[in-house]
Amino acid sequence: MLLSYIKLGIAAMLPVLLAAFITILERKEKKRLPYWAEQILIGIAFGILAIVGTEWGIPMNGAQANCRDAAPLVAGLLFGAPAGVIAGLIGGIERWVAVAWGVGSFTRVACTVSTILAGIYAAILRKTMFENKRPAWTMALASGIVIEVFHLSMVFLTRMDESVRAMAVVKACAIPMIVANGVSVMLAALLVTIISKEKLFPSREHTRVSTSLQRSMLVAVIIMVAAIGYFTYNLQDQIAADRTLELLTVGSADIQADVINASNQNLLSVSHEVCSKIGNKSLETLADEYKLAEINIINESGIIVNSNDKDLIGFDMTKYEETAEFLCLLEGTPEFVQDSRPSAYNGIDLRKYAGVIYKKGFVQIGCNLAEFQDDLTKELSDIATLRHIGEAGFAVVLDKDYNVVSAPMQHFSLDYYKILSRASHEDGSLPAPEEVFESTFKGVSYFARYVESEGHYFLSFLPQTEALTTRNIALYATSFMVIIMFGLLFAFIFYAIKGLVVDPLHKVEKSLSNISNGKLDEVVSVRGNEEFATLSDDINVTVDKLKDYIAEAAARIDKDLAMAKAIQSSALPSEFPAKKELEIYACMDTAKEVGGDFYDYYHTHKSIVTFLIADVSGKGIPAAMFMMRAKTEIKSQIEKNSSLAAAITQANNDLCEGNDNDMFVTAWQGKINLLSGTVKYANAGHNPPVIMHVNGECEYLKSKVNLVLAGMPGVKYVEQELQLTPGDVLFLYTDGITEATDANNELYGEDRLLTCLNNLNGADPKFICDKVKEDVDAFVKDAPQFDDMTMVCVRYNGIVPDPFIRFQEAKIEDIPAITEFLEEKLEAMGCPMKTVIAFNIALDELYSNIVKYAYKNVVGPAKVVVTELLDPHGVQITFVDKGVPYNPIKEEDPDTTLAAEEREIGGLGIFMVKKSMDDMSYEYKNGYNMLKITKYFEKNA
Amino acid sequence: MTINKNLEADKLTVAVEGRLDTSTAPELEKELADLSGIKELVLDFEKLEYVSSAGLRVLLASQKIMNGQGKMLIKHVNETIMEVFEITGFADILTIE
Repeated sequence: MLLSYIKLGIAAMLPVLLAAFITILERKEKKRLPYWAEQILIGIAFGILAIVGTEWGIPMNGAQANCRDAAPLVAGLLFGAPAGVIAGLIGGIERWVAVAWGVGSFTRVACTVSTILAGIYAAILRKTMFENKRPAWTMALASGIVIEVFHLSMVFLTRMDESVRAMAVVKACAIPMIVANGVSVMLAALLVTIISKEKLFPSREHTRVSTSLQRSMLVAVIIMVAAIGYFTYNLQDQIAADRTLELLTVGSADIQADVINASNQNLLSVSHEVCSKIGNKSLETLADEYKLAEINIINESGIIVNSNDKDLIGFDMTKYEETAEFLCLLEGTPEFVQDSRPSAYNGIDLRKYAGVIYKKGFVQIGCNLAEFQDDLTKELSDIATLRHIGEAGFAVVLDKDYNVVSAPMQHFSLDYYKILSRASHEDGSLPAPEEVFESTFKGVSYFARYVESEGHYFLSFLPQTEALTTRNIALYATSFMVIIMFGLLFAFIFYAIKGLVVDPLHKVEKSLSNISNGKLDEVVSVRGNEEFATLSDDINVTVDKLKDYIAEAAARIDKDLAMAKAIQSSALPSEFPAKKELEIYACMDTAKEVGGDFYDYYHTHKSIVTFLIADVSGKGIPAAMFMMRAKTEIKSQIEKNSSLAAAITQANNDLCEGNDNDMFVTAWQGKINLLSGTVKYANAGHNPPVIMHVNGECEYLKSKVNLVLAGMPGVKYVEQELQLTPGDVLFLYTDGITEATDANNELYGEDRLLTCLNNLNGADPKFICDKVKEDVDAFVKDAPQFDDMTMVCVRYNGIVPDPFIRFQEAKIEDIPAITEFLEEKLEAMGCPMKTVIAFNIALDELYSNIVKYAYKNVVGPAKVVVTELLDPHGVQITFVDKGVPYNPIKEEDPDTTLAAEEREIGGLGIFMVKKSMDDMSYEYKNGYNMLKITKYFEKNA
Repeated sequence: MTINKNLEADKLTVAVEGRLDTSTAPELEKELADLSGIKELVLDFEKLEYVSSAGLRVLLASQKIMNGQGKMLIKHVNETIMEVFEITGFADILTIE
C-alpha cells in the first residue's frame, strides 16, 4: 500500500520536473522552435506523463486513484493552450483504452472525459483568465483542485446506477487525487516561477488588478465552500441520524409486531380449544391441561359467571379499564387478545389474556407468560432471518437471558450480551431500550437499538456506512457542486469586473502613457459606463487645456526664436563681396532655430579680405548669444590690429572676461592679400580647412593649432601663412559637417568630405557648398542632427586685367570697331539690349568728343577700357586720352525746353550721356584725361 | 546705315535704317540738304536702332527748315529713341506719330 502511494507521488512529481526542465531549456536556448512545433512537443511530453499518471495510479474498487489530470493542466496553464489540449487528449484516450489491460472500467467514462476536459479547461483558463500568461501558483493550485473535483463529480454523474459504489470510489480517491494533482500543478507553477526568477509574492504595487481580484475571490470562494460544506454536513448528519433511528425503529417494531402476533395466535387457538371443551371437562382440569392461570366465563352483562378461580366469580369486567377492553366481545368482535402485562396478583409475573365469544357472553383465558415461553421461542426461531433493517442491516431476537432466539445465520454465534455491555454507559448500565447506540463487530460499525417485548429482546442493527451513505453522497455532491459552481461564478465575476473595471483601466492607462509620451492628440474614449465616460471626458478636457497652454507657450517661444534667428542671420554677411580676385560663399544650417556657428568676411584693406569661420560650444540660445559677442569682438580686434595674431590674442583675452559659463569658441580666421594670394591665418582649435588646389589636388591644411578662444586668457596666438595660386579654393567648415551621423551612429567624417571635395574641383564656391550639403544629407538620411552645419568657401582668382581697345590716332572711323568690341564684351557680361544701346550712344558721344576736341591740330591716342563691376553688377567704361585737360561733367546742361528755332545743338551729347548713365566721373591724372561712365544692370539670364 | 527716299509730289518720305550717330549723321544730313519745294517731310524710323546727338543735330536742322515751308513728321519711333527725344526736350519740338 505504501509503495502504491510512493508510486503515485512520483507520478505526481514528474510533471513538476518536466515543467522545470522545459523552463530551464527555454531560458538557456536563445533559438526557439516555431510556436506550433514547440506546443506539439510539449503536448506529447505531458501526454506521456498523463499515461504514467494512469498506470501508476492506485487501483481502488474498480477505479484508479491517479494523477493523470496534472500533466495536461501543467502543460496548458504553464506552457500554452495547444500543449494542454494535446496532453489532455493523449491522457484521456489512453485511459479509455487502458481498460483493456486492467485499469478499472468503473470510472472509464468519467476519467476519459475529465482528462480531455482538463486539457481544454487549462487551455481556456490560460487564454482568457490569465491573458495567455503563466498563472500564479495559488491559481494553479485552485485550478488543479477544481478539475479534480469535477473529475470526481463526473464519477457520480456517470455512475448514478451504482451510487453506493460510486460513493465508495469517490471517498477513497478524493483525498489522494485532489492532493496529488493539486500539489503537482502548484509545485510546477512554483518551480517555474522560481526558475524564471520572478517573485512568488509580488508586492502590491506590482500586482495587476486582475491578479489581486483573482486572489481575493479565491479566498472568498474557499471560505464560502467551507461554510457551505459545514452547513451541508450538519444538516445531512441530522437527516442521517433521523433516518437511522427510523429504520431501526421500524425494523424492531416489525419484529415485535411479528412476535406479538405469533403469541396472540397461539393464545387464541388455545382459547378456542378450551371453549370447545368447556362442557366436557371442568375448568380446573382444562386449566391444568393447558397450563392456564385463569379460565373465566363471562355472561352478556360482563359478569364472570364461572371460573377455575372461584374468587373471581361475580367480578364485573367493566370495573377496570384493562378488563373492560374485553367487553368488545359482547358487541360482535369474535376474538380479542391483550398484550402481556404484569399480573394483578404479584405484579412480577407477566400474564396475557385472550377472549373468544361463548354463548351469549365470552370465555377469557389468562396464562402466565413464563409457562408459555418455550412455545413462543419455537415460533420465533426464524423470525429474524426473514427481516431486514434497511438494506444491509439485520435483526436479532434474544430471550430474557440474552440467549439468541433468532438471528441471521452469519450473526447467530455472536455474544449479544457482550455487544450490549460494550455499548454500556459509563455507569455500567446497558443502553436503555429504544436508545440508539453504536457497536462494532466483525470489522463493521453499526447503529443499533433494542426493545423488550413478550419476554424477549428485539435488537436491530444498521451498518453505519449504509446509514451515512446518503449523508456522504449529499455532502460530497454538494461540496463538489459548490466548488464547481463557485468556479463558474469566479469566472463570471472575474469577467464582469474585468470588462467593467480592469479593461477600461488598462485602456485609460494606455492612453495616459501615450499622452505622457507626448502624443497629445490621444483621445481617451472608454465609454463602457458612466464613471469611465466621465473620467475619459475629464482627461480629454485636461489634455486639451494642456495642449492649448503648450501651443500658447510654443507660439510665444517660436515667435521669440524666429526673431532671434532673424537677428542672428542678419548679423552674418549675406552679400558676398564681388571681387573678381576673390569669390566667397558661405552658408549656415542651424540644428535649432538659433545656432552657435558663425562666419564673417570683410575688407580690412582695399586689397585685403578677412574671412573666418567659428563654432561656439553648445547650441541654442546660449550659444547664439555668445556667438554674437564673439563675432563682434573678433571683428573689432581685427579692424584695430593690423596683425592677425595680435587681434586674435586680444579678442581671446576680452572673451575670457565675464565668461562665467565657460563657453568657448573654435575659430579659423584668414586674411588674404588679393594681389599676391597670400593668406595669413590663425587657428584657434578649429577643424583644419581643405585646400582644393587648382591642379586638382585636395588636402587638409595641417598647421599649428592654438587653444580655443575664450578658453584661457593670455594665450599667444600664432599667425601662419599660406600661398594660394589663382584658382585655388579654401574650404572651411564646422564639425557639424564631419560629425554628422547617420541612423547607425556612423560619422560622415573627414575622409568622406575629402572625397566629396575631390569631385568638385574647379566648381565655384556656391556649387561646392551646395554639393557638400547634398552629400551630407544623402549620408545622414532621416537621422536627426544635433549640430549646426556651416561652410565657408573661398576661391582666389588672382589679378585679371580689364579688356580695352586703343588707337594711336583717334578718329571718327574708329567708332564702329570700338562699338563692336564693346558690344562683344557687354554681351559676355549678360548686358540687356537697352543698356548696350545706352553705352553705344555714350561711346559715340564721348569718343567723338575726344576726336573733335582733345587734340588741337594734332592727333593723339585714345583708349577705351571695359570694367565689369560685380557688386552691384554693372559696367564701367573708362575713356582715356592724352589731350588737353577737359572735364565734360562741368559743362552746363542745355535748356531742353526751348523751341526748335532757339535750340543750340552743342552740349546735348554729354547731357544725354549724363542722363542715361548711373554714374559719371572725371579725373585728370599723369597727363591723361580719364572719364568714367558706369551703368548697373541685372545680368541677363 | 541705309536711307530710302520716296518723293510723291511735295511729300518726301525718308526711311532710315541702322544707327544714326556721329559717323552716319553726315550721310542723312546730305540726303536732307535740299528740301526745297517739299511741303511734307516724313521720316520713318521703323528700322532705326538709336540716335545720338549728331543725329539730333540733323533732325533739328530739318525741323527748322520744315517749320518755314510745311511740316515734318517722324513715324515709328522706338522706345530707345523716344527716350532720347524726351531727355533732350526734342519730343516737344518734333512731331512724332
